[in-house]
Amino acid sequence: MPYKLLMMLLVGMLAGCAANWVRIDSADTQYRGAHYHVSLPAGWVRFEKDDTVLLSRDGPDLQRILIEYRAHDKGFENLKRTSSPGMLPSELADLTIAEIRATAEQKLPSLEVLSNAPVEIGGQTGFALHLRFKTEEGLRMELLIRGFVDERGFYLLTYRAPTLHYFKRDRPVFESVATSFRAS
Amino acid sequence: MRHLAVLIGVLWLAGCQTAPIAPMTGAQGAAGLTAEERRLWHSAQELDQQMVNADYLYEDAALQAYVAGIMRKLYPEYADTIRVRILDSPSLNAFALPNGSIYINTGMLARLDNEAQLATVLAHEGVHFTRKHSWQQQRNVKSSTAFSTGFGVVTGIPLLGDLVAISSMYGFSKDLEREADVDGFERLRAAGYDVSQAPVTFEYLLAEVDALDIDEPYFFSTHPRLQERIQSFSQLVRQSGGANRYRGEQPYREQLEKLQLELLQDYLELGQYQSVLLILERDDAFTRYPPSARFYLGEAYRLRGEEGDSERAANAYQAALRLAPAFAPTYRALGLHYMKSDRPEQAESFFRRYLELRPDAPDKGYIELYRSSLRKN
Repeated sequence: MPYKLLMMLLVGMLAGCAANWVRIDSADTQYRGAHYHVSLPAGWVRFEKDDTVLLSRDGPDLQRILIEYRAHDKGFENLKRTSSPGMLPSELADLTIAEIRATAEQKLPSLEVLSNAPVEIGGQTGFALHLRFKTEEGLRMELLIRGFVDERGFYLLTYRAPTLHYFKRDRPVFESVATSFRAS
Repeated sequence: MRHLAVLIGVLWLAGCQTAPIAPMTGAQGAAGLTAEERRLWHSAQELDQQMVNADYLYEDAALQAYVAGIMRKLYPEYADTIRVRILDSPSLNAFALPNGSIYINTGMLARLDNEAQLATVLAHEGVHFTRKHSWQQQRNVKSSTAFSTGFGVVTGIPLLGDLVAISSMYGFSKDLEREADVDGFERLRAAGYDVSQAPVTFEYLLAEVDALDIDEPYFFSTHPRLQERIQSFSQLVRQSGGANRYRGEQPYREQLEKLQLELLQDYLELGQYQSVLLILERDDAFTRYPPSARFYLGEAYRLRGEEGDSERAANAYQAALRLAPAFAPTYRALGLHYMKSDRPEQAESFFRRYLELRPDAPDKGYIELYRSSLRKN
C-alpha cells in the first residue's frame, strides 16, 4: 500500500492537484490525525490523504518523508501479508524490506541494508532501517525507515533522498519528525 | 525500463518494412545491418548499459564464465557477438536482445538441474538473435491497434512499451518460437547435449508455474507457452531418437551451489516461501542442497504459518542443527522459536550460541533486546 498510495499522491499532484500541497507555516506545524500526531517541519510542504502525510521541501524526487498508519489487515499488501500486535520488531523490519523489494522492478537487487536495529519510537519498541539502492538511471538513493506496531495497527515513517547532497542535508529533519511521532 | 520502451519504439517504427530479413552471420556484429537495424542494435546496447548502471547484473565471474562457455559450445561462430549476462532477479525469465545480448535470470538458473537444461534455454534464446526475431515480429504486426490493445490490457503498461517489451521479453509469435525450438534443438544436439533434457526443462518450469500460481507475464512463466515448448521439444526428441549424451549434472551443481543457496535466502527475504517449499520438499532436494538448506525449509514453514507449521519448522531447524552445527542462522531461528513458545531458557541458550558464532551479526541489536526481555521475564 505505501507504494500505491505514494503513487496516487504523486499522480494526484502531477494531475493538477497542486492546490492540495500545503506549505507548513511555523505557527501550524502540528499534525493530528485519527491514529497519530507529529510535528512537521516549517517551510516544507505537505500533502495529506487518509491519515497519510507526504512531506517535501524541494520536491518528492529530491527528498520525501512519508508518514503512515496501516490497519493490521493492510500491513504488507504487496506481500499479501498482514501485521499483528505481537510481531517482533525484527520480523517487522524483514517484512518491510520484503515489501519494498516486492514493489520494485527486478526486485531491486541493488538494495543494501546498511543498518537494521531496534529503536524506541514514541515510547514503543520498533525498528530502524537504513537502506541504499540504485535507480535504473544509476542514481544512488538512501532510505531511513522507522516502524512499530500496537494493538490498532502498523505505523511507518520513511525518509528517502538521493545520496548525493540531499540525503545527508535533510536527514536531521526526518530525525526530528520521527522523534516527535506519537500514536494517538 | 525507459530504454526498453525506446527499443520497442524503434521496432515499432520499423514495422512496415516488407523486404526479406537475412539472418545474422557469425562475425557480422552491427556491420552490414540496415540503418533501422543498427538503431535497434544501439538501443539494445543502451539497455545493456542501463542494466549495469542499475546494478541489475549478478556478479560471479566463475559462474559467468561457465554460462558463457556453454553458449560458445552452442554458437561457436557467434563467440564474439553473443554475450550472456546473468540478471540478479528471482523471476523465471530469459530473453534475447537484438544486439546479441542474452539475459538469463538467477531465478531461472537456480531452478534447473543440469547443464543440458540450461543449454536448452540458451540455445532457444540464441535463435531469437541469429534469426532476427525482433524484426520479424514487427513485420508480422498487421494491426497496431489490435496488437497494442490486446497486450495493453494484459500488461497494463503504455502502448509503445508494450510493443517493445513483448518483443524482447514476453515471447514472440508461435511460428517464431517454434523456429527457435527447432534451430535451438539442432544446436543442442550438435553440441553433444542430452536432448532428452530439453522437454524436461520446460516440464519442470511448468510444474513450478502451476504450483506457485505464478502470474508474471514473462514468456517462461506463462503456462500455455511452456506447454507449447514441451510439446514441441518432445516431438523433436522423438524424431531425433533421443540419443543419451552429455547432461553435465555435477559441474552444474558445483557452479550453482552458491547461487542456489542465495536464491533460497532471496525468496525468504521476498516472502516467497512457496518457492522454497517447492524446491526443498522435492524428494531429491537434499542430494542437491547442503544440509544447512534445512534451515531455509524451516524458515519457509515459519513464514507460511499454517497449522502444524511451527512444529515442522522446529523439526527442520533441529535437523539443520544436527547436520550443520556451525551454521549460525539456525541458532537464531531456534531462539526465536523458543521465545515465542514461552521457553525462555532454551531461547536464551540458542541466542547466546548464535552470537558466539556471529559476534558481529547484523541483527545483534535485536538479539540483545530479546535476551534482555527474556531475562526480565
